[in-house]
Amino acid sequence: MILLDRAAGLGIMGGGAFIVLAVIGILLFVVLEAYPLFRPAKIWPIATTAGLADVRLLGVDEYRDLAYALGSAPSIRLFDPVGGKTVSDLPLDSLAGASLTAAAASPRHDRLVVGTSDGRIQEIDLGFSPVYHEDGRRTTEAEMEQGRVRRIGEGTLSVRRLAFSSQDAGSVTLAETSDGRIYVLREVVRTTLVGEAVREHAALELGGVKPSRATALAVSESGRAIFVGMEDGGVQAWSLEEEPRFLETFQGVEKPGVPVTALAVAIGGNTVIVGGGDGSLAGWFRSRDPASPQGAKRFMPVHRIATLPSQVVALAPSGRDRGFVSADGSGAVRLHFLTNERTLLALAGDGAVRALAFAPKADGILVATESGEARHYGLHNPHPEISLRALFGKIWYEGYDRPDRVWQSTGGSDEFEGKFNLVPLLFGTIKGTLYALLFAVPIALLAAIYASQFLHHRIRNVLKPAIEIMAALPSVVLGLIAGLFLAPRLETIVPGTIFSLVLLPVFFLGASILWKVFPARWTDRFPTGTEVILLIPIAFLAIWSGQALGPLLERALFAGDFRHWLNGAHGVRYDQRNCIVVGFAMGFAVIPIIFTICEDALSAVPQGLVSGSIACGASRWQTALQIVLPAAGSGIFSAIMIGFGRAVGETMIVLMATGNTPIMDWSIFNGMRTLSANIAVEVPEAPYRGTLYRVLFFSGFLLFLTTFIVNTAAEVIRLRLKRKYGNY
Amino acid sequence: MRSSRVANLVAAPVMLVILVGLASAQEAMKVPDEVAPYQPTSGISGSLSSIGSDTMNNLMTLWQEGFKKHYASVTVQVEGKGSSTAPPALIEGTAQVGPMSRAMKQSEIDEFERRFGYKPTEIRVALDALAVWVHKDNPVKGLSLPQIDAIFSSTRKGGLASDIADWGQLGLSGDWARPISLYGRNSASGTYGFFKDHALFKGDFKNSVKEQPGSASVVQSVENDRYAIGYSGMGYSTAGVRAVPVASKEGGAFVAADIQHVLDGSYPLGRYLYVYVNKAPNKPLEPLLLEFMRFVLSREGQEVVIKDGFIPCPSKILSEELKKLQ
Repeated sequence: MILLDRAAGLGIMGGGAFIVLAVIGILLFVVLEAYPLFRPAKIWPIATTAGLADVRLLGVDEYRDLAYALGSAPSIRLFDPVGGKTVSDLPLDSLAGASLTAAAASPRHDRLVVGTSDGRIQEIDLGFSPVYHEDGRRTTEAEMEQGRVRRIGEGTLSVRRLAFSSQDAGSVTLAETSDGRIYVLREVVRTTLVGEAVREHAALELGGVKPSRATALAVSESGRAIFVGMEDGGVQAWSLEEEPRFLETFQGVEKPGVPVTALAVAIGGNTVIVGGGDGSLAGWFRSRDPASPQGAKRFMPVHRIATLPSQVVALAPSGRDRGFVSADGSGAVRLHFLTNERTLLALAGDGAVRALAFAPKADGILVATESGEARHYGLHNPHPEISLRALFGKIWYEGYDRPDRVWQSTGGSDEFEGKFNLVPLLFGTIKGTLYALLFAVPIALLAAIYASQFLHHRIRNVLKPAIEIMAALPSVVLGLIAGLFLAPRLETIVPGTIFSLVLLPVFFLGASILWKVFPARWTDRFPTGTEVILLIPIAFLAIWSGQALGPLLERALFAGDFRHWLNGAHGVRYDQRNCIVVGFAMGFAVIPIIFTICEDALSAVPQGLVSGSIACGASRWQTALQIVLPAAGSGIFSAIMIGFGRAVGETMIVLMATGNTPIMDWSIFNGMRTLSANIAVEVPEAPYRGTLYRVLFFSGFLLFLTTFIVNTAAEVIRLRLKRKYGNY
Repeated sequence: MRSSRVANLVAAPVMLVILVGLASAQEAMKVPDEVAPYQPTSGISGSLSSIGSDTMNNLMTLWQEGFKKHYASVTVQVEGKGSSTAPPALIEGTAQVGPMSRAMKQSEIDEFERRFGYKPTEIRVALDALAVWVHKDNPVKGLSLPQIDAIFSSTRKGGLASDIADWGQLGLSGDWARPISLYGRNSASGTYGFFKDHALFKGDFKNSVKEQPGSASVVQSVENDRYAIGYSGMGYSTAGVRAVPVASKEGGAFVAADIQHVLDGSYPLGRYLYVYVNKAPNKPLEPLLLEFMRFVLSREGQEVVIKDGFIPCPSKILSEELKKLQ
């Protein structure tokens, strides 16, 4: 017998320990999956290639197998950025004899443009192609194709500066000659139905750059936006559709008189990064001007990223995200991210930087120094967009009018700016829980009090299991009913439903008054505690008359259409999927739990207390409210807290009944998006161990934390109540 | 989906006439004669799994049924939760076929390459028009892309100065001047991404867009909500909704979402539907997968495309795609 006891004890203890371990294990897993979000970026040197003097332009293929450098000789020097050796020279035959004075490459680095001392400009296509060998090795080969040589201006002045973008549909070259004029050279490739490409060329001068001299040029990847940085710190913005159209000049370097020293357009082509002679670094995009009454758009200094110790020498935007690399006068290279304005890492400089290249896949950086070296660094930077501010603070996202908290995690293209703010989701979780509890707690609690104190025991014996069975309803079913059946119907009968809720207590009161009026020989037929059965038809009557009177009421008070009235008179949108629906459905899921536990707690109050109270002359009501309720207080409190926990974690009902709109609005007439539903919605699409995947784990951790804190607090309060009021 | 179509047929004889009209229009659309019929080979067995686009869910199921007619011992599993689920499934190897209603993003290709060292192979399998649905009684004549942008987007990159939240702002009056109720797809969907890129000009959705887990669910919601607007592939049309003609520019001509206008490129929301497969360079595809893709690109496969309400690929595209598989 003792042995059996011991075994049982050990078993129970083991089970308990196992559960605790399992919970800790799950927590640990969640934390481990989320933790890399907050790990800093890593950079490491791969190789240095020597013997590359006076480099003007650097580029590398997407696998970082083959890199190139352009100097002043008319040739492209290919080198192996991993082995650190020069590979070969590709001479630019058609430019023989001239020296290169400027060069620029497209963001993918596979197309470039060069300008010479005698005003010639040529586009070059470096067709990088990977070759897969039989043994599984991969090498990359470059096949050069030279485009037509064009001359700008009178064709005698040298090309001082170039900016370039190239896509399949054509290219845009921005060229500045040594007399300070700026030309736009376009090539439009039209593909006919037969599949032949027709190339059209056009060149025109960009007017109006004077009086201040241009110091930097940039073109967006699509070629639609042109930026000219100037000596006085101004930046001219042009849009290029058929013709270049001047948009505006903005003070890109905010300190007056300081020149713009570097310009770059971030992925997407809307944000321009301006580097100044004073080391200032800012991201600008067009947004509605709050000062303008028509809401005209104007360039705004949205992201003030950093102030480098010396002037910004070079900028290279990422082709994958909104990050970019900068180099300052001391040769220090830094990696920044636009959205959250963070500087992710910094490499101390030694010697001035001549050229900078961000690998096409944003996984490496190439730096050419004054000393004739090209340094190749590997980069591991999987979650640049995450910071505490990105998760909880307000951020001014591209295209928005003001800083805001937004959840919009996925876009259809790479240039999409991920918006991972968890506050709307936390808000939605709290809102949904609150409305569910608002609906469930009064009903469950009052029902429990009535059932335990007043109801005839025979009815109670049927009622309690019946309500408990409600808890067995899968939440998916509840969600389905709420979303597809309840929501569209409720929409048409909102005033009626509200009216029914008002009429219910009124009818009940009326019924109880009638009860007193009726002669005792009628009422005596119902033993104490069974009168409630009579209320069932009255409840139906109340609901029915509410619904019947609803349309009349709607006509009288809300001009015949409640939704319209709500929107017109109060500016409140009525959404079909709203909190009333969620309150009903989630209430259904929560009521049985709260009811059962409350009822147990109330029934556990010793009969002696109750009898004592009644013996002292208290009525049954007084006994219930002042003796039983406080005595069972701790149990009731834990019931509500368990209900809260259930509502916070509830997924399927909110997923199906709320529309999952991440809005921050307390209105009962619209929906919300909760943390748990969000995880369910987005986890299948989240790339394994990508940013979204980890953010979802992080939100799971927050959910865990919320329930943990609430449960712990609840337990502490429960114990206090227990000590104060007794032990039930 | 299909059963609700049938229900509508039975319920409303008027609709029946319209549907018959549609059916004859679909008969007019034919797979070009030069597309070769499928030639079955012997010794094909095993199982295939497809994970990806919800838009293409019915299409994949029909292809699978057609394919099984040739090879009884083959099993094909189809799961469609959204295009964004295809790349992870191909990378993890849980699926061999990845149907997507948008092209893969560079970041997804990067992820694939990191695992395999080469890029996934993209096969265009059908054409689709993304339709903008309204309730069948809605009298709106047409919408321009900037208007659609102002209805759905908080960023309004399409250029309209003010937000559109009410049908009254679109010229409807009386009973119809009510707030617009917005329905859309969840973010895993390629339709969501495509709509974002082309109708919202790469802007962001409003927070008030109610996200639905599937195309059928969007159409059904629009059917049940008189003041609703939503979008999905044209293959999900029902009698309760109407596809609004769309103009690409403010003030431009409204173009209906039909075959002719998608093929000539005048409907601004036309797109390709893709299937992605994992094909190592220098190595042939696994025979079962190759045969399945050949079936999809064959005459039978393209007839299924028509049957499901999408548009078959031109024969030139089909032969280009067949070459990629070799």
